Amino acid sequence: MEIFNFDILSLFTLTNIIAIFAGVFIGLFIGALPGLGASIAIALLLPITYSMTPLASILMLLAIYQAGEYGGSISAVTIGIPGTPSAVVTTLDGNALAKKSYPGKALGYSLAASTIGGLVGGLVLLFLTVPLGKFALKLSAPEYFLIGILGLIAVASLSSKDITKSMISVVLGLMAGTIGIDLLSGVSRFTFGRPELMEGLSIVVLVIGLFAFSEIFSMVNKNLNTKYITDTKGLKTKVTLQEFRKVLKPTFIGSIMGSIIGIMPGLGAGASSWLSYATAKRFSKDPQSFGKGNPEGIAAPESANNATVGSALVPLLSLGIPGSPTIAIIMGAFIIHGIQPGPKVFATEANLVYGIFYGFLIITVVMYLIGRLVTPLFARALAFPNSKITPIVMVLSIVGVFATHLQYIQIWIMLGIGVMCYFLKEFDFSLPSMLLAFVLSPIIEENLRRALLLSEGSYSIFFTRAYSVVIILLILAIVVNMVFSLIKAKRVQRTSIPRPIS
Amino acid sequence: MNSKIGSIVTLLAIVSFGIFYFWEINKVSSTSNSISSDFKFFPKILFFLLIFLCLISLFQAIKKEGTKIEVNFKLLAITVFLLVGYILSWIFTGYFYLLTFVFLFILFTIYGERGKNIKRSIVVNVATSVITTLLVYSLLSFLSVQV
Repeated sequence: MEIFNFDILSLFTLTNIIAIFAGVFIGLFIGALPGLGASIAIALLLPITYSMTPLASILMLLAIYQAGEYGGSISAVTIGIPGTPSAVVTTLDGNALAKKSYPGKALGYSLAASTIGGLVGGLVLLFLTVPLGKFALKLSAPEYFLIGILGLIAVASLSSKDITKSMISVVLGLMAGTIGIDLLSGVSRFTFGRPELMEGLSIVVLVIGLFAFSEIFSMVNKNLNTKYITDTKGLKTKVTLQEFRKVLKPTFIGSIMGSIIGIMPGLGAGASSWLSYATAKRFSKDPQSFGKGNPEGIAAPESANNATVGSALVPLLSLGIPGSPTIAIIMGAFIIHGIQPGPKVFATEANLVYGIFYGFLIITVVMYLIGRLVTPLFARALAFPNSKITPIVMVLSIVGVFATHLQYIQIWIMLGIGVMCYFLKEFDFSLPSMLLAFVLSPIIEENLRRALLLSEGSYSIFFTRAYSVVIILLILAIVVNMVFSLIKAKRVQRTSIPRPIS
Repeated sequence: MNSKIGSIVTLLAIVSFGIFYFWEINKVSSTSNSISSDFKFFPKILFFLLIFLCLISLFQAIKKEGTKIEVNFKLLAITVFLLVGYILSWIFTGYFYLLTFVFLFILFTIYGERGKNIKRSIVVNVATSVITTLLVYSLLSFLSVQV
């Protein structure tokens, strides 16, 4: 089936529509709450997808991700506290503009840019996935192994203040991925004789433990009764066409950069929003006003983080490798329904894949409409104290894990992971890196061993194939950039330390 | 808690985990010499990589000056204790919904603000616990899960 032969009307079933609207509402609500992000909402709702059709469940999770990215800007603009990690950069100009004029104006720019970014990401998904999927069929074990490594290095280099600890997190994630029956030899590894672990560590258990429980413990550790006071009067999102024309250039920059960064496995919305902000500032006629309420500083990161959502699906559907940690959680919904994303999915699940492509564009439009109508309502979510949210998330997490497996042992595993990951997070280890490594572990191990089998144990197979060389060069570029950034940061640190006068 | 000591203790715990991981994989005997069927090949690489990275990180942690990290051990310990108690009593008694209501009410009360209108906060906490329990009930009914 070709893209344009897909019957779009078949998407408009009651289940799909409810899934999209519910996903957008949940995403906006959770995104607006500081601390909780789309990842946690998706992790909590992953067990529910068992009882839904594959398309409805994936559309709901994508709607949460897409709307959560815009939702993150609500608290960033109104109170200066980002709801999601990628909204940190929006705080700079968003909050300043909210103080200068009124929050609704800043949110209007954010919503319009998010929608354009989302649509561009959706178009990239629509037009690039199929050709990339066809190209992926030409790739073999060495390239898949290297793409996996590329993703891990990229995510480790960006997701923590401490790169060594990020790398350790990656190795821990890879180790967690080795639990269960080894597919190539049929031997059970690290199962301790428990049949529940034969299929490996459950992605639902790991994701809820990693993101929901570690965040719950962080919330318990902080002030649970913080109340954010917001003025909900000036929150009507309105931007005139003339006003929006002024931010078309940064929106375009953000959309393109977000789409490109999304395709790179491992990088996520956080990286794309910072990079597009820096680029928009460089190309702006008024770079001095960035950070002081310049709408361009809102449009660039907001369009970028929403463009990343769609394009991060491209490597998942074409190569079977998730483009971001949140997409790695969504990959769980595919696995729950027995679908393995990758180049073969176009032949086996064509209706599902094309349904995702068009459904994603519908999600973006729905996000715009709901965002226009009820943003003030989501700003009220900030009035919810953490003392009420934390116990509710706790119970929902436990129920979700139990409903998925109907085994008590999975609840204990989740609790153990949650406590352990809370401490890892406190000491700057990277949980997103760990999750992505867990998902990529079977891909990396299987393809490494297959590649060495093909080459009869010679490692030259990774350096003598054209595609492999290109990927190695990309890996080297990221590593070199990482080293330079470290040296630069150290220099800045050294010069900022005052020296004693002799 | 000092971040330096915390980092060192965490890294040592990870090293211990790595040693356990290595010991566990070596317990199973492998009959194959081929890499493709050697199930120990990848875990061994991961073990050596983990130890190498932990040593670097330990060295960095020792060199770095520590900062104070605020950890509310008391509240964290109470939360974990209540969680364990809730799950254990669910497993042994089976009264899931009643236990969920009690668990939520206790947590709302512990986490809530002190010195506020006590009567009002009890009413709010009971109402929130009832609503959340009903939400859990409808969720499990939707998923056709018996508890």
